[in-house]
Amino acid sequence: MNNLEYIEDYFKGTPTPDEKKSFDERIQNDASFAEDVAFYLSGQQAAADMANDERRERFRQLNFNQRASQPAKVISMRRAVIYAAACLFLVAVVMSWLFFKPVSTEKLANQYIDSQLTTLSVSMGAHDNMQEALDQFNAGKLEESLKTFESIYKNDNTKDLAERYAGIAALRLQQYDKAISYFEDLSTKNLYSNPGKFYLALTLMKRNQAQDKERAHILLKEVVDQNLEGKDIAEQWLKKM
Amino acid sequence: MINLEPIKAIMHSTSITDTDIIEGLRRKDNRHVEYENALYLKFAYFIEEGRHKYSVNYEDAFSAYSDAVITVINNVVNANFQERSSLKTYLYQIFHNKCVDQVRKNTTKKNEMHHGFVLTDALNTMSDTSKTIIQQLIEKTDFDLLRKRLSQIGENCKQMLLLFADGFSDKEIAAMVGFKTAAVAKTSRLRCMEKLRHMYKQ
Repeated sequence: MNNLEYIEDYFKGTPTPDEKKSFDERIQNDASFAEDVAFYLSGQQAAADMANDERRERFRQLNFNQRASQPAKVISMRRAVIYAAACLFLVAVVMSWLFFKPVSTEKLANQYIDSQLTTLSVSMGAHDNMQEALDQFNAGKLEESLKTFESIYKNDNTKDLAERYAGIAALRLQQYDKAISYFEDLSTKNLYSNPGKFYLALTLMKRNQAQDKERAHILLKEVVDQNLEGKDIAEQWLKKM
Repeated sequence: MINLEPIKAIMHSTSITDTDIIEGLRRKDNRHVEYENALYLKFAYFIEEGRHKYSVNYEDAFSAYSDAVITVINNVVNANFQERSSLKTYLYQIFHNKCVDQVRKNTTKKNEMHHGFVLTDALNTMSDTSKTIIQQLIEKTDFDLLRKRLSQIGENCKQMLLLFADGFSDKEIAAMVGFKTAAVAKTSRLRCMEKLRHMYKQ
């Protein structure tokens, strides 16, 4: 007891040089005293370690309570921002892929043909034969209508509308070379509103043979640049091609 | 089960400041525990950050954080924290070092026992010869057995010895445990120390 008190007073106080010397000499000359010093320090360390162990256990309990009281997993703001940015980036990539991925030109052509070229409007005051051809076309009698349109055009090659419709009928019948021939001829004519280049591009897109896509692309650019009939559709297709 | 309400009350009172925590940790009464808990909770999000930043598991990140908080508490109480940086910066630096230690420990598969500041500080007051003698004796100490005996010594004795090791004076211990004077607390505490030695040597 006395030794422990003396040892504690030494460590907790501010010993003079003489006291330090005396303490050192006792450690070096008195094995029992040295053991007392060693035990005192070991006991202090063990008590400090145990106090810290109890703190750790208290913190573990705090941690458990805190996590249990949170309904959802809490992530730090920094990580949340990283996750959000990653999600946005992913969404942007997917969206841009969906919006900007090249669409098959043949698919674009099919969509247009199905929505715009299954029926032809009957012109006011149309010639009897023309009316007959349009009726045939709209009734799905495409071969008959093609013959009638061609007949009208052969008899009077100033009838550009008949040439246009003959090209459309040939396109619907997948007689692409014939359709191309009509539309190429039509595109060279000086008309107030000339859809020749547009239909020619459409036919090439539908045929989809080697170089057709490239030629269609050039024609569509010409349609846009020259403000020809079909410009709006041409602009949309160019963005998707 | 720890009641979080007093801690929440402390933390919600206009978000507790560094000064509040430092003064609270230096309180020499039972309320210092609330400020230890408040410090722990205030920066507990370091655990998740450390887990991801250092690629350690949750348990290792938690241990590193708990040890860092304990180091900060000890340094604040012992006036080793100079307040040149914020508590957050100071704690994070220590936490970072603890995480690096965890990574090294995991890498080298070592699990060494480190003795803390008590021995280091005390040994530094002695001459080299005395230090060597005492170090050799301490190395023979069975610390597991000593802690076991400490846990068996009785609640009052344990509390006094732990409080003293934590830096509380006998006067403060007397007030907390219920002794009339510091002298009585000191005599009782040293008797507890003798009892511990007796139990350890049995």
